[in-house]
Amino acid sequence: MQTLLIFLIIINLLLIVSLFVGIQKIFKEDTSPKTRAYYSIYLSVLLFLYLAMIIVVALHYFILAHYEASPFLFMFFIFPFAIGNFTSYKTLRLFTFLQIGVFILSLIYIIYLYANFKYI
Amino acid sequence: MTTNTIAKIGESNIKAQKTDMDYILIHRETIQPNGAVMLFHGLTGSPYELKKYAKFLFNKGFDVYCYCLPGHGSHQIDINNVKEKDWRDFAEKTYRELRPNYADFFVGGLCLGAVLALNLAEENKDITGLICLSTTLFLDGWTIPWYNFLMPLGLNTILRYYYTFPEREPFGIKNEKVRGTISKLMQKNTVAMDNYPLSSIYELLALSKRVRRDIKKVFAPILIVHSLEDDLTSTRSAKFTYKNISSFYKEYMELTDSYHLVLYDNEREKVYNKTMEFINALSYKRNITLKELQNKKGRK
Repeated sequence: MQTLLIFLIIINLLLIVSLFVGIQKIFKEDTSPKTRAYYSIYLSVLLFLYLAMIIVVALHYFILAHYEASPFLFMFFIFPFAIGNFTSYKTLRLFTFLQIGVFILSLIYIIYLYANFKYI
Repeated sequence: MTTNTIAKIGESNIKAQKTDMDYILIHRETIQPNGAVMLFHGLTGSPYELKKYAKFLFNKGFDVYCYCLPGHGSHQIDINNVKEKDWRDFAEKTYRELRPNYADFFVGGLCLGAVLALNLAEENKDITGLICLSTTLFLDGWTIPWYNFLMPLGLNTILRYYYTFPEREPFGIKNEKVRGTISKLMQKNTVAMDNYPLSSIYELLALSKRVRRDIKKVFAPILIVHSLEDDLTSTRSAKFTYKNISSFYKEYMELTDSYHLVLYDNEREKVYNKTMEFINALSYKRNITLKELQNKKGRK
């Protein structure tokens, strides 16, 4: 479980950095569609891993009856879809930063879980 | 005297504007036409892909209208800003404007255009006939990339505005010569965009879902043309349409030597001729019905 949390921290960090680099450097009009396509696939894979791990960790905490952690983790699972639902092309930049903010929060929370792992 | 008008209206921000990206309108000003055909192009395409077909129909005595759909024919940003409702509203508005001018009015399209035509027929019962070419109700063709399983993630998160599928070989065309020509034109961005933004696919899928839900409301006679080797959407879409619509008159033609862009591929002549057969059959049926009605009235 600790290993999973470490992986989750790494993936979370990668997501924050990659999304930030993406909007600053990659997703520009002069970038070729191919580069943008591959970069978005990379982001999708990261997001897929992040969501899969979050749900596994959430279920783990739920099964172990540590109910205080699960709701936060489930929230972090739902947030990307909720944000995606409310985003339009005009508000994209704002919502991307909001998404990065949520990833930062989830990173802090997962670090907190990792730091307190011995008490579980 | 017959006047043929091929007009281009509207400014385009796209790199080159030599072709009919914006608008194709062919109509007769003095002679009463046989009827009218309104055609819609495909996703990220332009009226260019319907140009030859439109001319063919025009030469057979029909007024032909091919409009550029909202978000197309200009910059990619525009397509990101467009919702499927914009396409529906545009089709509806155009149809309402044109319909009163003609006794026979056919609606058709390719890919997204076919889906839009079906949607229009669900709302309007006075369409004379539908021509659905490579109807895209499901995205399950053989060129859909291996990472397609990530699509739901992309579609439902902010990634849909970042994700793009670059247009690549075979560009929906089996005929290598035509493919070469189209490929060159695409590089210049004159006939279609060189990539599919995921947001536009999201809107297409939303429209397809809506059309599938209400497909039983389609009563108009229909011609469905689909290729067995369609690279973007399998025959599942065509078969679903054929099976579920409520039309009393429906025809299904399966092509064996074409990909998605059936109007430019190896069997284009077949499609052209089949369209005319379909239209003539309907006109014939219509005439018979009218005669029957007149006879009945006469007898009374």
